[in-house]
Amino acid sequence: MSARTELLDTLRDKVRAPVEEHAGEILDALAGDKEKIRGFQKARADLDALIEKLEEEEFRTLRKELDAHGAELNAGIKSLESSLEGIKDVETTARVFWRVVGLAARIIALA
Amino acid sequence: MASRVAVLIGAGALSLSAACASTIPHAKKLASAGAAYGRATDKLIGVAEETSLDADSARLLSEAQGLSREDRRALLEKHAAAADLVGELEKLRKHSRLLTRYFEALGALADDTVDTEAANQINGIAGSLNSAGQALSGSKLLSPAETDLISKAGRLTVRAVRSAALSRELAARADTIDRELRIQQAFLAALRRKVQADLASIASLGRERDITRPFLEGSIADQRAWIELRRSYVLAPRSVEALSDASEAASKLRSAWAAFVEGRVDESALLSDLEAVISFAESAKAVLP
Repeated sequence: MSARTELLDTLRDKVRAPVEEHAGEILDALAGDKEKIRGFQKARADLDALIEKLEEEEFRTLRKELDAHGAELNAGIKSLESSLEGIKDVETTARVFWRVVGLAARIIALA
Repeated sequence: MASRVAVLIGAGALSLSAACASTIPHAKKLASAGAAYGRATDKLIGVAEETSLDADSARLLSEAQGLSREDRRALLEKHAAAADLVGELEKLRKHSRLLTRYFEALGALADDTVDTEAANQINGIAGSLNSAGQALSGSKLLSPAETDLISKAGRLTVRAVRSAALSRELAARADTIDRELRIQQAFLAALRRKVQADLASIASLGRERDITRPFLEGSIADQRAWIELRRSYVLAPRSVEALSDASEAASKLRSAWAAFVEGRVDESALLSDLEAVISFAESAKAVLP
């Protein structure tokens, strides 16, 4: 599998899909805190943009970047998964999500 | 009963020529399967287009919650790219429709009473199909492996068929049609990946918004509409399965095309490939709205 397909599948299936599944709950829990809602929604829009970029562009050194930073990204995704399980601390979930999107953005920017 | 007899006679005619090169009945069967394939894919891509747009709208609605008017405007602009995908898919639909017309014209060429007009017609269709294929080949939707599949189109060795018009057509177009079928195969695989992800978004965002919440909160305003919506969410994955079958059907049609053109007809393999193509077309017709 190419690095582009691998990262694309990861971001679609392991990051976007589970967050979308709980988006309603997260937004409800953050209600009243405009800044936090704005941050969470910005991370979601940024993730869409990253997925779109991966769908449309080729990256010469993506495999190298994925090898170098993949472990960190996977650890972030694992934290996201466990924090989404029966969400207790929404703020942590939103923060972990934001961090995962940031890591993916860095990998793509370096590739 | 009559149609069953006709099928048996047709199959018999094909079996009798098992040891020979490609025959007119082969050409007719191939042409009919090719045309059915093109019609089914055209419809299927239309459904994929709607699924993708709906997913984008579901995300847009969800991502806009709690944002200011200004942020909403910026978000709407970010989602403008959804129209680009529709443009790309419309090109693929055009390609499928031209493929249908090509195979219909090929079927007409296989008739004994073929005239110059039919031969001229197939030239025009093939030219348009080729241009439509070229417009697709540089698409960014394709993965490197899919781009490779298209670029690795080889050279088929054409063997004459017992019809001068058909033989001329094969000699002129064997490789072109092989390439157009590769384009279909690659694109449909890419589209399946995209639509699968979009359906996941629709399933989680749309179902939560339209089905789960109104049900839990007891706020369903129109029960009939709710029932229809719930049905559409549950049945939506069928189009992804059909897309996966479509790419496989394109591959089978391509292999049947190569066998026919090169006159290396293994009767049962050809029949089984064409049956798979027809079966895809029929199930797509049954599944799609």
